[in-house]
Amino acid sequence: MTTARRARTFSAALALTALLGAAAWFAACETTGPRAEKTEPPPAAPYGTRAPAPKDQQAQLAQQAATPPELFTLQDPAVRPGPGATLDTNIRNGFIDNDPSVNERIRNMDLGWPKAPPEPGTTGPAAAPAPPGGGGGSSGGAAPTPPETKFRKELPATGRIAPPPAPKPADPGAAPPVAGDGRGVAERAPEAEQGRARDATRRDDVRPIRLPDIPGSRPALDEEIWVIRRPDRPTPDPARDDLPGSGSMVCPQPQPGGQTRHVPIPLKHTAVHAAVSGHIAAVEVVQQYHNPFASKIEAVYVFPLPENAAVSDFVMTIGARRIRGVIRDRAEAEQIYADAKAAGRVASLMTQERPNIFTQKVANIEPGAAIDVAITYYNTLAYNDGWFEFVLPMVVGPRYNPPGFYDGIGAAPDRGAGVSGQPVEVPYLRPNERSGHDISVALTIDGAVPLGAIESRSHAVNTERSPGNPRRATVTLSPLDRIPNRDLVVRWQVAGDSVRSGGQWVAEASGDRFFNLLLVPPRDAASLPRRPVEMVFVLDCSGSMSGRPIEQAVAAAERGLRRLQPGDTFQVINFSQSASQLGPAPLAATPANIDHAVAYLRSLFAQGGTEMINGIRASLEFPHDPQRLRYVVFLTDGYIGNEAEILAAILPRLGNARIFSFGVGSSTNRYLLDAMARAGRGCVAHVAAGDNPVEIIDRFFDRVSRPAITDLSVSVLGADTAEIFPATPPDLYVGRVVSLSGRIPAAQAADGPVRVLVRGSVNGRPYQSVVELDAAPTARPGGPPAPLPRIWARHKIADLADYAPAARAAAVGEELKSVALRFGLLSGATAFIAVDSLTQTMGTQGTTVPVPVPVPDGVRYDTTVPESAPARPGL
Amino acid sequence: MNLPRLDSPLARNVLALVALGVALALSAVLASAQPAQPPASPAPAAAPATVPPPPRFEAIDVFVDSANRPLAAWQVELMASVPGGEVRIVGIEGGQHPAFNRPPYYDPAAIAQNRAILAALSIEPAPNLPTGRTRVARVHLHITGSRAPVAVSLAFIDAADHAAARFVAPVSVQPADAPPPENRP
Repeated sequence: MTTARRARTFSAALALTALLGAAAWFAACETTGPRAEKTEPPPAAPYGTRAPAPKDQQAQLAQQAATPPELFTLQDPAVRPGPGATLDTNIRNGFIDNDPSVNERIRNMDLGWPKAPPEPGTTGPAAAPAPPGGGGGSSGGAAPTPPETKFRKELPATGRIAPPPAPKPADPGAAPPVAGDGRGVAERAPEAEQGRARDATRRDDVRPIRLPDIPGSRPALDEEIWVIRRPDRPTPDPARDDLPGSGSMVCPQPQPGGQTRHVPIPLKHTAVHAAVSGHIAAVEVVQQYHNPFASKIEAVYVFPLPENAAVSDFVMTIGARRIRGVIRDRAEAEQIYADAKAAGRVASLMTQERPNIFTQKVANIEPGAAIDVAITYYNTLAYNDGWFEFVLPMVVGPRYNPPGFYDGIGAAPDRGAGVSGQPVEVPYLRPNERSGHDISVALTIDGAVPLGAIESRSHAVNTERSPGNPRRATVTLSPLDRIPNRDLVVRWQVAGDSVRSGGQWVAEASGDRFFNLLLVPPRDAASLPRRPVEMVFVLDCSGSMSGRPIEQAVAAAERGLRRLQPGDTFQVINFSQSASQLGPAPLAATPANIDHAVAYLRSLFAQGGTEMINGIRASLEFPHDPQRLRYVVFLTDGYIGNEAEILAAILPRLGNARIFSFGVGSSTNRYLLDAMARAGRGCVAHVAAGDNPVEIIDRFFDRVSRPAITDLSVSVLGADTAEIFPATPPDLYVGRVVSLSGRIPAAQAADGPVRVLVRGSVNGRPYQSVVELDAAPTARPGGPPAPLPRIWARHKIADLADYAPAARAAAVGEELKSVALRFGLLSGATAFIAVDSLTQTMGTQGTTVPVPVPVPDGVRYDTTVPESAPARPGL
Repeated sequence: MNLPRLDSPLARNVLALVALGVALALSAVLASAQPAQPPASPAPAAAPATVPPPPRFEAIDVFVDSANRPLAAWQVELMASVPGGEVRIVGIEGGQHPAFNRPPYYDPAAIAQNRAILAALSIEPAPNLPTGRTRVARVHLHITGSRAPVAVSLAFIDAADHAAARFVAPVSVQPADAPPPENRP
């Protein structure tokens, strides 16, 4: 090889080396930039949530569309992308920019997206004319529909996200949905598609989001919205678009012909297991939440429990894991919940809005995920005329709030959040809508005495008596009667002379003793004559009483008038927006006056709001007749939100009157009715849809026709500092028992049984008796807590909350909270919080989805649920 | 081997090419060895001292070591704290053994003072009860106002076997691990 040839060869080698070096440099330049994205791609954002735009996409946008600096920034609350709108539809509808030249530039940008084939009758997105006044994807069929947004044609302005997709039968390779991996659409796709969906950085996988129209899901101003492209998949069968996977939006509009429309909600089922021992019930309520939507949600459910329920346990179940909630100061618990929700933790919060109305919130439920919340409470059962009664409220009735009152429980149509203007709102399904939420109930009765008849007039039930044990039976709700739209009432009879005054006590580790006492009136009281009465019937004629309830109330009042005796007097008052009455003064109970009153009653009809305060004033403020006992009989469903105002109005006006409340309807406000009767030292009865009002008013008159033990007082022998609630016991009527709870401080808790001294007056003669209580089994460490201390604490909280003078409100509030925290009870000042701190969901906080409920059976939707917000002064 | 003279034009060109190639190769090596840096930007200003750190959530596991005795009941007291901040107990989860996988009960009066007196019992027969060191509870915590690690103190109160015979058992805590995927929602 010559020198020159060697030199050429060497030069070529060097040139090759230089080229290789240059190639390596360029390669390094390519790899070093997006290294992080390639090795650790950012997680795919859940469908329907905000995801960052890839860098190359951002650069291209910046270069090609510099004029509109924020491509998807929403500048004006009135100008927002409509549900289901794609980039093109937003441009056409003027949501992005009103400048045609800008729109044209955006439209002509090559973002590398797959082009949607034009639909028949259109010439492509750019050529499609904007429908006049079209606000979004639901504006008729003129808008073109890309394949991946096929369901847009069904989008109504108030639609819902359909359940997640299910594999089609023709697609055997499709994997079942993967619960909750936080990848939105990707978790529902077959594995091969998941891989594509995870590759979120590919430029052609990025598409503008079509907002899921879950109520409240609209973005905030200045949010930038992107979405990971929906994986290619077979188009769902339009005929099956109500199935998971269809991508359809459910539009619960009124259907022609009155067909029922199914509304997907995040509460699937409620399972109730109750065990009654003697007159105390221990009840576990399991609410089964799930997410039927395609994006993460927060479920909010406003639901009822018995007004005397001592809620003392709360367990959140996630998969196989169970997390016991902790009782906390309410504001503290709400802050923890907000922090957990913001951090993507699964959390649940239970608060009390009224003693019988509660709110359950469950945050960060991922698509397809299921979370159970179990609540345990104890309560004492009512005993009337030989029957024990177990009541399970199932739905909150629509409440009326007076104008200017903004601390109530509001009624709103489903997807009409904010209509009521109240801080707590119950959304109601329209008459032709149904949710899939149902309820199952299993009640085990373990009576202290043999059980007689067992019945439920409210629901179809199956009863199974325990063979060989006449004290035990099991009652289950029939599978045919599982719609939770009225109170379940199960009653069982015991022999009339088998129930005697008595009770149980238990000692806690602190040394305190707690007891519960049932007082039964003496049998010989039934033979004494009664004094003349001044009977005041007060009828609620508001719109919620329309229909069957007002008919029952009128029938009951008419029967009551006919039962009056010579020497009695009476008055009839009705109220809705205002109150009116039969005459200026009570009338003598003559046949002519009674006929006149009956005619007046029959002329009443239900309409308007429930200004109960007017009924209270009208019935208690006229001069008292010293010759007669004044009995004020309220016949109402109690559907108001200002209970505290009503209770506060009773005490200063009560005098020597007695208040008897008759709940009329299938799901009445038992808290208000019970609290009114307790404040008025009377008693409460209920006329449900299936009850005969004549029969119930007859029982009432049988009761008040006998002298009661009045001026009742109860004390513990040897423990004068015992706290006993109710602090002012009601009168004791024949056929009715009174339940009292007490606490004996450790310092006065002597050895031996607890003995209670009962004093009173029967027709002016003194009455006295001593009741000895039985010892109850103590709770074992590590086992469930004993119910008696919790029941006592619940009684004390009710007494403090309902009847404390306004001047002591601050001190009472602190005392109430202290009692609730010590005994681990839910109250207005405390809340249960449970957080799973180990797992973290992805994406944003999700959309809040309230659980709509049906209006109670017999209540008219159109007279109780406003479709629009009332005018609010000053706003 | 005969090479071109160093002062010849060819040699100079060759050397220039070699130098360029080496420089390019070196720069490629250096570039590939260092991760990409974002464009130069001013260093983030240190957070003002008055801005509290964001709240965070953690979980700790509680263990009881019953040695060779079947564990049928246990009771411990736990306190968690963090310097300069607050720790609140926000959930109590059960243990790993089936006999204790239900969440233990707590004393609400103690919880109000941010102490947790936890207890659980099982009525399972001895063969179905755990022995040795077993996780009996997991406590979920909410930490605010501090970035410091949580300090936990744990005190043994009581333990018993299936025959209700009491014994003393060592107790311990450690940070909780994330649950397996099948236990996620």
